[in-house]
Formats: sequence, structure tokens, C-alpha cells
Amino acid sequence: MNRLPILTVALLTVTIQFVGAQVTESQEVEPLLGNTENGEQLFTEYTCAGCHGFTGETGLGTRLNPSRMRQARFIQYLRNPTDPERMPPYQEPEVSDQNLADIYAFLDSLPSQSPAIEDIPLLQAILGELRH
Amino acid sequence: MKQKPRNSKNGSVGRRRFLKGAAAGAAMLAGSSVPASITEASGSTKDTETRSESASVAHNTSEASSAIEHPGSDYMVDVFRALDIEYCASNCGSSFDGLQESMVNYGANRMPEFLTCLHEESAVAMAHGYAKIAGKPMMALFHGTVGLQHAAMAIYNAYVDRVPVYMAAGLDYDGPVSAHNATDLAALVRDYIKWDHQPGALMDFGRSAVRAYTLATTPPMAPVLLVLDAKLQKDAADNPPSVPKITVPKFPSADIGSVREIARLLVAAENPRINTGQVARTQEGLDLLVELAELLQVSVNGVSNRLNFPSRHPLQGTGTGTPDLILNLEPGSRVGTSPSSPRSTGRPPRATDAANVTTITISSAEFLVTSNFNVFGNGAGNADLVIAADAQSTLPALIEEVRRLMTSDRQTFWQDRGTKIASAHLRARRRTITDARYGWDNSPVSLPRLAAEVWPHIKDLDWSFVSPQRFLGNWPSHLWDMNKTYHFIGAHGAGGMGYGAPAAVGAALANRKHGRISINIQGDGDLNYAPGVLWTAAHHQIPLLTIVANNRAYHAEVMFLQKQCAARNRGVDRADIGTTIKDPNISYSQMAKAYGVYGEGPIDNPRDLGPALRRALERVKAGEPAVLDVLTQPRG
Repeated sequence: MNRLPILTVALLTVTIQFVGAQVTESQEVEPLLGNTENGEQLFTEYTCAGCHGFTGETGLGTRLNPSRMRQARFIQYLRNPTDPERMPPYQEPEVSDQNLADIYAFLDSLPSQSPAIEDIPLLQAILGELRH
Repeated sequence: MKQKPRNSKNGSVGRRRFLKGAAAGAAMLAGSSVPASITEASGSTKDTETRSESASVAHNTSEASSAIEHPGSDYMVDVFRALDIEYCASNCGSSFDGLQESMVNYGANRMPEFLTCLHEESAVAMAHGYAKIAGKPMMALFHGTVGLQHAAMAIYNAYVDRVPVYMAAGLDYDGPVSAHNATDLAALVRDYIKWDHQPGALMDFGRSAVRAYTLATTPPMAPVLLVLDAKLQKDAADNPPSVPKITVPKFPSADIGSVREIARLLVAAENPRINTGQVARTQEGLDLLVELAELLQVSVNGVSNRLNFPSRHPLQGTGTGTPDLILNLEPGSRVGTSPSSPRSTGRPPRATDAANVTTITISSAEFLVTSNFNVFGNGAGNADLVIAADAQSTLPALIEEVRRLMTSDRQTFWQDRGTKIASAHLRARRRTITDARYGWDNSPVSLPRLAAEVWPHIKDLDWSFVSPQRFLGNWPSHLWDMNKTYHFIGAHGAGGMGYGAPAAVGAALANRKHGRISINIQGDGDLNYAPGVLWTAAHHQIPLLTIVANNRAYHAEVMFLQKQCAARNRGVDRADIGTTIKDPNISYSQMAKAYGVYGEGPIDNPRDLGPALRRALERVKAGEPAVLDVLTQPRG
């Protein structure tokens, strides 16, 4: 194998990691203005609910509601997810930053549908059945 | 013994008389295989209508003189009865009309009772579910090549699940459609059945029928097939052979040398783990596994292909730390996985630890040789010791050997180990139950909420969960106290869709005589393969609560396709094409009603679930099937 592609890949990897490192939670990056309605539509069209549930709280995927990352980190994560086998990467031109900002805005607008365990008698009863 | 046909089930006497009359007429239309005396008496073979009328006349006027009083199929019914076969699930066909007539008239539709199925795949899946509760096979009867090929997928499921199904297929070389015949009919499914035979005479039939039964019910259990020539069914058998002696073989348990070696390794291990697949064939198997686990204080991954170990037992799960010994008991195609265990703390062995992990497998699947299908993946995998034996049958000797080897020092160590495992189990289970709160108030309903809502309605009853649970996120076993084998009977076997609803109906039929409430949480995609089984449940008055977990998609496939779309960076908004079941939405309550079953829904507000469950369960307790259509989140 030609060594040049290997070097290119290595450099790209370093660059991506470097760029990624630049976008931190604490850094001031002007967030994009998200459109909640469009975000809801995209959340459906991209079948995000398949893994994350219709409100981002259920399913096999990571819980997205309440949001645990800022918009810039959210967009960066969707471009380069840590485990592409579980979470596929979403790239331009198919998915723009604005699209992802809209989805972020939709998720951020959702109220939690997850009461505290203390407020759910059915689950309290099941916990009470544990014998040990 | 000649019995009069009497069956007043469903109270539909008039209808049954009508059907009986029709059947009698149809029985005389069996082409040139109809006995010569009857054909001659009819006086015509030119067209169907004329033949029908003539045959009926012949039947009515010359029955005493020319009808075959003791057809071979009467003897077949005698043999099936001797084999204790309660039911025959079938979609009717002319190649076995002789046998069917003997069942409903000579046998008075008892032992076996003919179950009317609307698809052969449903017939086999019903038998599959029935056997997992009843512990014995149901008969499934098919019509030639067409019926057998309809049944094929369900046969494959039962084979992979190692469940006995007693199958027969009619073959009529003189029948009206030559394409329904084959030179070697069983070849269609021979790669995934255990044994087949086409007896040439009644004497052969008796021996083959008994042989088929004993092979089907000896581990590794699997479907078997008899091919029954129509002529053999219909020819006179005035002096039928006696029913052969039925002797079920002793099940194959491990040799004592292997048992001693396994016991030695288990006693010496610091952190052993037991993984289970299809080990507990009966409650005795589950109880033996509990005895072994408690003796050694070892963790058991026990809720996988069926309930092998109580879901809330302190030793249930993956234990703690990395195991140094793994004992696989009857692993399925997914060796060592048990996603239905609570999210426990035990880790799978890392690649670097592999050299330090001793793996032992006891599996009767080693006896199931298949040349074409990758049924059991790697089979025993990379085990250090593989024992070809039935694990349940081996457990008593293994327990005895462990008792013989244990010392007070080891017992003290084991007690300490058990305390740690129990503590890890409790933490994991509490965490899992607590996680059920996520999306609790969601509409559509979250799958943990669905399972949690069902539990208070059944927990004080004798109940049986008769459906797969992987697509439900395994929430039933996370939340419900499962401690009887019938509390969870596992899944498809081969993962072939279309299993859920008919297997649930078959299991519910087996539960019926125990007065047990059967619960089926049913995927909508699976139900659409052969929903006609709902009619079978209504017709035969089989009590079963079916809750359709309706996510309006094949959501596993949605996820797979979405991954491809994203990886290729094109059409990420098109993964719903071919994977969703919308536009129009299907109404499962209306579907149920169309089949004569109580139906309610769609229910999308979780607060409406409790009252709906109460209403549906009232129907089930009264002996009916009932269907609730519940709109759910995509996955658990």
C-alpha cells in the first residue's frame, strides 16, 4: 500500500481530533438559531426516534432529553460519533449544520416525560417486591 | 372401537351437522383413489357436479354394503391417541381427507382434536408454542407440497428452538393437482427436521409413527415428519396391526468421567459463571439449576431463550468481575448472551483474559447435524470441553459430584462470593427498574410502562407470558417476577417473523386446562404475517390476552437501513421506505373484531392502559381471546 494515503489519513485524524478539541463546552461559539418545527420534522424524517424514542427519552440509543450537551458539541458529535456501529455519522451535504441545529432546538424544547421514581407508584410497588 | 361423531363445542350443532354432511360428500370425491366399489356405485366420473351428487347418493344408499368400514386412517387415529396427542393443527387439504374424516368421525374429534388453522405456518407455530407449555408435541397436518412449503418457516423456527412438533403431510398421487405431489415430499424440509418417513403399509405406519414420536421427544428435540399416502389412509384395514409399544429412550446425559471433570473445575474456580440457552425443558430443570447455583453460589445468566432461572433470584445475572470459568448449558445461536438479565456488573471475558478462562459447553445440539444451515453458529464455540449431552439430564449427577467435592473452606468462600453476587444483582435490578421511569408519561406508550402496567393485573394470578421479549427491550423479565418455566417460554428459535401470534395461541391452548392466564405482547409486524390465527383462537375458545405493541414499523430494520443511509451519506430521510407500516395505519382492534375477537384501541395515552387491561382481562378470564391495540414507542 502507498504510504501517502496512510499519512493523509493520519493527518486527517489528527486534524479532526484537533478541531474537535477546539470545540469545547466552555468555548464561546455563536450557536445557530434553530427552528423547532423543522427540527421535529427532521427528527422524524431521519428516523431518530427509532433508537431514541419520539421524545428522546426511550429506546436503545442515548437519552437526548434533557439535552446534556451544548449545540456545538451536539453537532460535532453527530459528525463524528464515538461508536459509528451504534450511532451513524451524519455528514454534509446530506445533513447541514442548520439541520442539526434545528433538531437540537426541537429536543431542547421538549418537556421531560420522565417523572421521578418516587412519583411512580407502579415502579415503587415493584421495587418493594424485591426480597433482598 | 367405533365411536359416533359427537362434539357440541361452541354450541354450533346445526353448523357442525352441515359441515359433517358436506365432509361426507367431499370424502367421496377423492378421484381415482376412492375405493373402486364406491366409484362404480356412483355411476359417473365425468364432471364434478354429477360426481358430487352421485357420490352423495352412493354414500346414502350403499353405505352399508360398499363403504369401507375400517379404513387405514382409523388405525392411524388409534396410534395418535396412544401417543397421547391431544390436538392436530391443520389447514384442510384433500390429500388427507381420509385421515381427517377418521379424526372427526371415528375419533369423535378428540385425541386428537382437529384445530382449524388458516395457514400452515400458523399450525406449526401453534404446535411450537403448545409444546413449550405442555411438554409434549402437538400434531400439525399439511396438504402435499403446497401445505408443507407454507409450513416451512415455522418448522425451521421449531428446529432451531429444539422443540418437538409431530408433523404429517398427506400425499395423493391420484389427486386433482399433480403439482401438489412430489417423489420425495419430505425433501422439502429434510434439512431442518430430525427424522421423516413415508410408510408403505399400515404395519410400517405404526412403527414409524411411534419412532417419529420418540425421536421428536428425545433431546435434542425437534420436528419430525410422516408422509401419509392417501391410499394408505383410505384402503380397508379390516385387521389392523396392534399399536406398537411406545418406549421413550432415556435421555442422553454426560458420562460420569465428564461430569466429574466439570464438577472439579466448578469447585476450583474462583469466579465461575453459568450461561443458559434452552436448558430448562421442564420445571424440574429450572429447580435443578437453582440447586446447583445455590450450592456453588455462582451467577446464572438464566433468562435467555426461555426461563431457565428465576428472574429475581439473587444469583440471576452476570455476577461480578471477569469470570475464570464459563459453563454454557444448551447454548442457542447466541452463546453467552443474555440481554434480558438486569444490567449487571459482571463483565464478559476480554480477549486478553481468554487464555485464563476455561469454557465448558454441555449441549444436545451437538447431536443435531445439519448440512445446509448455520443453525447453531459456531456450535460449542471455542470451548475447552464440549460434552454432547442433554444438560438438564446431566444436572443431577453434576450436583451430586459437586456435593462430593466441596469442603468447608470452599463453602465459606462460596458464601462470600454469593453475597457479593446477590448485592450486585440487587443494585443492577433496582437500577433497571428505576430506568423504567424514562418516558413514563410518553404518548405513544413506552415499553417499560406497558410492561409495568400489566404486572399488577396478573401478579396474583397463575399467569404465563407466551411471547418473545427482545423487541420489548426485555422489560417483562426486568419487571415481573418470573419463577416458573411457563412464566417465559422464549422466542422464535430462528428469528423467523410470524411466530408470535400463533405460538401464543398454541401456548394459551396448553395453558387453558390449567386455568392459567396467557399474556402475549405482540409485535405489529409479526402479527401481520398470519393474523388469521386470531380467528382460530376465537373459534376454539382459547383464552389469551394479546397486547399489540404497535410501533407501526419493523423498527430493527429502520435502524439498520438508517445506518446504511447515513454511512453512505445519501438519502438519510428515506429509511422509512419499506420499513414502516403506515399510510394507512392498521387498526388491530378492527382486525380482531373482524376475526370475532374482542378488540380495543388504538390506545396511545398510558393512563388509559390500566382500565383497558382490566376490561380485556375480564374477557380472557371468561375464556375468550382479547386484543388491545397499544401505540408504543419504537423500542424498549
